[in-house]
Amino acid sequence: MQQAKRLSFLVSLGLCFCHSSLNASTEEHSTDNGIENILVTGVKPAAEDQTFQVDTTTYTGFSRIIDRSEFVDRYTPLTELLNQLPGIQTFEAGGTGSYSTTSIRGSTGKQVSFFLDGMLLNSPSSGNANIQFLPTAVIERIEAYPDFTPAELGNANLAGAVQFISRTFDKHEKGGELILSHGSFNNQHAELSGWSDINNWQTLAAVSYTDAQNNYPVDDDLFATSSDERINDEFTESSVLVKTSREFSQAKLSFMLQGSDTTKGIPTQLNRLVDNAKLDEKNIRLQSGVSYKVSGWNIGHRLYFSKEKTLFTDLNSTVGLNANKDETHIDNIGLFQLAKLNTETQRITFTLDASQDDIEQFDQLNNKIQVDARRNNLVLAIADEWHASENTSLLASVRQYRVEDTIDQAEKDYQASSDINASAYHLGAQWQFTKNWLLKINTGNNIRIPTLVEKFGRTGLYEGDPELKHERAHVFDTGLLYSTPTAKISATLFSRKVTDGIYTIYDSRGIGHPENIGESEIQGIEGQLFLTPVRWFELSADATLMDSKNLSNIKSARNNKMPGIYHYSAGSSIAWIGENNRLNLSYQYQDEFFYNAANSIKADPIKALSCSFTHYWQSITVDITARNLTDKHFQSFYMLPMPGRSFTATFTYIF
Amino acid sequence: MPTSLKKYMSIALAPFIITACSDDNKSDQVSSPHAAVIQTVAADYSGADVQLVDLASGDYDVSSGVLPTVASDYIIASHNADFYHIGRYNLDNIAKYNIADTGSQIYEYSTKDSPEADSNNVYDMVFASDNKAYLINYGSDNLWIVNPKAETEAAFKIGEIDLSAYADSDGITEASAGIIVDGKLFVAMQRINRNNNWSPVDNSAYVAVIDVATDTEIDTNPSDAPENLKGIELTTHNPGHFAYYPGAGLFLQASGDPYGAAYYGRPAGYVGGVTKISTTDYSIELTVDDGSNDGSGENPYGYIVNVAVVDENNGYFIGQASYQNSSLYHFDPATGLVTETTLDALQSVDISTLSAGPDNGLWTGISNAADPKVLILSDINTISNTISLIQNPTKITFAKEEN
Repeated sequence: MQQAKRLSFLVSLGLCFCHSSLNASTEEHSTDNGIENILVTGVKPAAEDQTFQVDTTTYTGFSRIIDRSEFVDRYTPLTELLNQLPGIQTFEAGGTGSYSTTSIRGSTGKQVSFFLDGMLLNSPSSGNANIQFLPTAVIERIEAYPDFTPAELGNANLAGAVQFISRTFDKHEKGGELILSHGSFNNQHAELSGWSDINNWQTLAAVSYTDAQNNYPVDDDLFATSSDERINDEFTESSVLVKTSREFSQAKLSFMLQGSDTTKGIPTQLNRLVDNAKLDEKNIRLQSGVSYKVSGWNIGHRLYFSKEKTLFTDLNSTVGLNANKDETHIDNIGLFQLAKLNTETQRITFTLDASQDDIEQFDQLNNKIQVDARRNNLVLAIADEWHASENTSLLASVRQYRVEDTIDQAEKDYQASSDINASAYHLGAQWQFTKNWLLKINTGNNIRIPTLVEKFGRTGLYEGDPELKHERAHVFDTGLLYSTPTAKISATLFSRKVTDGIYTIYDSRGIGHPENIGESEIQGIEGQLFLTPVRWFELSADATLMDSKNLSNIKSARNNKMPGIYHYSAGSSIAWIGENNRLNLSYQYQDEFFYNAANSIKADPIKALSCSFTHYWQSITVDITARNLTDKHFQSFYMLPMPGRSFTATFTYIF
Repeated sequence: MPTSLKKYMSIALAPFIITACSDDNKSDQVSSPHAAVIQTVAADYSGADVQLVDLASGDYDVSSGVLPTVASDYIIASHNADFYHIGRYNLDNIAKYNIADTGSQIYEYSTKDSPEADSNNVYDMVFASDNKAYLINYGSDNLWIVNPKAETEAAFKIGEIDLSAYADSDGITEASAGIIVDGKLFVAMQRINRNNNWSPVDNSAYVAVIDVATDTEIDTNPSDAPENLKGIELTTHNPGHFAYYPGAGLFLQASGDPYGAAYYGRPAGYVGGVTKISTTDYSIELTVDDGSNDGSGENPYGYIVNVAVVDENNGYFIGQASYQNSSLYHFDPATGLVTETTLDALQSVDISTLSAGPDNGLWTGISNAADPKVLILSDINTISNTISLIQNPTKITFAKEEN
């Protein structure tokens, strides 16, 4: 409670400071030296196909945007970037490239959808998205929607969405970028990209390579083994992105190819020298899109295809009880159709996303197909945005889902599965009541479709339930946004009540069985501010205070706080900007994290101090970043220790 | 062990109160500490805990939050007023406490030979005396002889008993339970084939008999060929729990192959039951059979997954049909005659553990996310007491200070 009060005080202080700063200076501040600000809402480059994009200026739901300029100067994992946003927490099993999950406003990882240019990245099998395998080299911008997922993204989830927009560039621009980085624990990263207009085809190509040993020192008392550094956490990744698009008189045509080849060691809670389990993943994503106008309608079609192959190898049984060599193939093909009608007072959006996922898992050691399943998804979304006046927008959107699962082979002999038909809605309003102040309010109902594992089980005595229902949540949020050229502030109240949450219950034999018995409430307040009172100084801060209550019928959990999330989190960053230099100091605080539903074991708070120094000289940028200066091994994800103090040097050359 | 876990483990939790009943006319004297020590686990496996039930006062007061952990794979063993909190697969530690002061850990030692070794996965701890006990290692091919009173980790392990002769093709014997009767340690070995989806039916299960005085194995069939295994070959598979009562005899439950048919395409797996073992001539007799294994469905109890014998005339077992669907059965140790309970509370529920308690009572652990509890039975159809818990019970032991 004391900590909550302290955080409330900090937020209030920040707001007061911000207000006084605004009174002191309303000078407009533009970007210098290519440095842009952390933006609450962003502006998209002109070359992007707006047909498929969300117009965040009129969208009533809340959105957070991180632009490439925020991370281009220094090698930064995606999880670290997302962690900077209020209400969003990422949890990692170790160093760079480690398994991670993302929580939005207290959700689980499965309840958050991730998209790359509209393509859903979440596995239909596990529900999670391996965003740690998505290199920043391919990303132009990150958009987070912490309450409702806009209709333009089709397949919505229970706790919002994060969309990665792939690299883009302004029309007729030509250039390239070389980024080299080297850091502690033998972490190295290189990326090369180039873009040009080739016979009217705007084309961008980027390749990247990352090699991270992640052999960071660990405290003596963390593990019983003799190793004094993290074992088997290494990560290597090669990736490629090619995008090309062409504008015709009435239409725009675009193609995108993205692929990566990743190898990741899987560290364990024992940290033994014998640990050598590995996950190899190869994936390729292809997307073609066309957009055009017909009678006032903006029409778009996207055909997408992805193929993912993972090989999990654990011949020494260091992760589970058995030796494993399991190969999993997930193929996805889909067609996304969009139609938008823009009138003076309304924007009506129809989207229809039809896709099919094919999953096959093969046990190479026993020469046996473990899982062979197919999922057909159909999601229809209709949104009507009514601009009642110049300053007022109202939004009503509905979604209808139909999911059909077919199981040909599973660990247990399932005969049939129920199709899922579900709907969701979102009502929102925003009112720009002065030049600088904007009020937003949203309410609605979100859902999460059970994963294939939840419906059909997996190896290791985890039974599925083919009749499992979807999770449901009633969501409400409202907030104020203040924006001037020198200040951006937002404060949001939110609540989410989940019913039919899917919990896995284990019987006395140790067999897990998912059941729709979860019920929980989460309320909170999140705030963010960004100030540039003078050209040479920037201040940004964010804070999220949450209260949660487990309302499930599980006796040891009922009325306790939800485990696995930090209920208090705050971050702040200050930057001094010179002619050719930038010095940044940031601090992150997170607390009130329970490992278990009984709330009997609590994690230590995270108090991390980091800094960076960036020097700009003509086309060259050099950055040195020091993270976690106090050298603490913070633990949250299954009590696994995170890296301590680290240094990263990044060299960027733009040509 | 992670720092935070150590910290919370060492927090002085609500001490188990030595009940001094002075104002309720139950006793005018301070009772000796006497408690049921119950290992519990969260229904969603998000953690575990130990709960103590005060038996000294007769009120059955329950203390919870005694040893909260994030890991869930723990068992409990008791000897006199001490109890031992044993972390199993990949936890590999044993911590000693006394019921009079659960907030003070007496020691915590490793149950592995070296940090880099594979997990011994201790399934049971059997006490020969105050200074000698055996750790039944499910994950290796030997037993540990330990000194429960050791004051240093180096003094804890005092020997090993080699069971490698029983190892099957995967090199491990899967010793699952132990009991000492008449100066002999009986060790049940499942001999599961890990290379064939953990099949318990590929190899015969055995019971090795160890002379506690010499820690050497007794040849239970000296008349057969010397190269044969010395232990008792069982006709059942997948043994899990011993039960013994003087006059009734020694019984061993075996659950057969409950998962083989559902998950691995094997036959139904009704190759378990309750076997009576002679502690003198080592002969065996199938007291309760779990039915035919020919797919005819003549399996009235389901799989038999636990056993307890509370006196000469009353034995009990759990018959498990499917997920969260098990029932309590009574059997006559002498004749094997089986009767099912008529109590709804013990039919088609998730009975997770059985234990013979004080005063010939049967302690039955009921796993239920919303209402976990222990039912104490005075006979198959009479519940004499209900003890409400916070989490699902997985093992019940009894600790009492010897006067």
